[in-house]
Amino acid sequence: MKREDDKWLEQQLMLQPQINKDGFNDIVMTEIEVFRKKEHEMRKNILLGTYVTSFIILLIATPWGWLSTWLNDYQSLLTIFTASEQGTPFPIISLSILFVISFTIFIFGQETN
Amino acid sequence: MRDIEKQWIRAAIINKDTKYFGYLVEEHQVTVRGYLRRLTKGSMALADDLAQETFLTAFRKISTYKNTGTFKSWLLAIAYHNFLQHIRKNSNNPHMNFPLDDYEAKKLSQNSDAIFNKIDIEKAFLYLKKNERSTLTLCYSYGMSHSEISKIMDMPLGTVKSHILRGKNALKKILNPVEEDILC
Repeated sequence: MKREDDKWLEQQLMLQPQINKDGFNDIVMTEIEVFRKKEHEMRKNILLGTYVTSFIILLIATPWGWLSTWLNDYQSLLTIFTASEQGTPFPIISLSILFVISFTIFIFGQETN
Repeated sequence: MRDIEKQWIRAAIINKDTKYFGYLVEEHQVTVRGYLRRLTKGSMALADDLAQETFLTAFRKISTYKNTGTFKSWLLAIAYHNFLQHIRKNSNNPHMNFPLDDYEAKKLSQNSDAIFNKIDIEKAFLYLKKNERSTLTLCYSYGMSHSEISKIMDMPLGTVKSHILRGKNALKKILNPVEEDILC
């Protein structure tokens, strides 16, 4: 083949395939949005799962026996503040659990938003 | 690479901003789709599917993009990788458009006069092997250097050069009957 043919071939090769801008961009961006939503959902679920697992581990690992003995020592001090109208003292352990639950609900609420 | 493009990439990396990534898609879609169309032997639907996959992968992995090469070559590397994966997944499917290279070579010798009456480079590309199609498109249509192509296709520089040479020779063989026809 002659050199001129080489040049002709190279010139032909320089032509790019004809592509029309036919809304391809919008399709890709829609797919990316769907992917982001899925990713967000997955991340949220993993986070919730982690919180639940941590909470369960915390409940299991906490030395409740030692804690209740220790708390009973200070029970009398706090009875003044936590006593109900009937005069029965509100157990501090229940107060702590209530606090942990409300705190967890608060965090879950934050994550859901 | 243009400064504005660098800003879009930075915004897309730092904020995972879809708006700026959209600008990047707009900027490079013609190149990626055109390249994949050549690789898929003109199959527009498959090329566009692979292009979508390419941009989705790019969005997911944009934080791994390093400024060592251009963003275009990074995208083309993902596109080529996706194309190879697609071939591997469908290599056992007899209805696939991508037969093995031996088959392609046989087809070239058998049907070399298939495009006898028409000088059409796109048709001639159909008879080339996948690596020849890829290297010739990147080198001539998109003006990439041999070293850039070697990074995109993850192969040695010498191999890239020989693919280009072999591709050009194959094209000459395919287009030769046309030349004879014109001369007659």
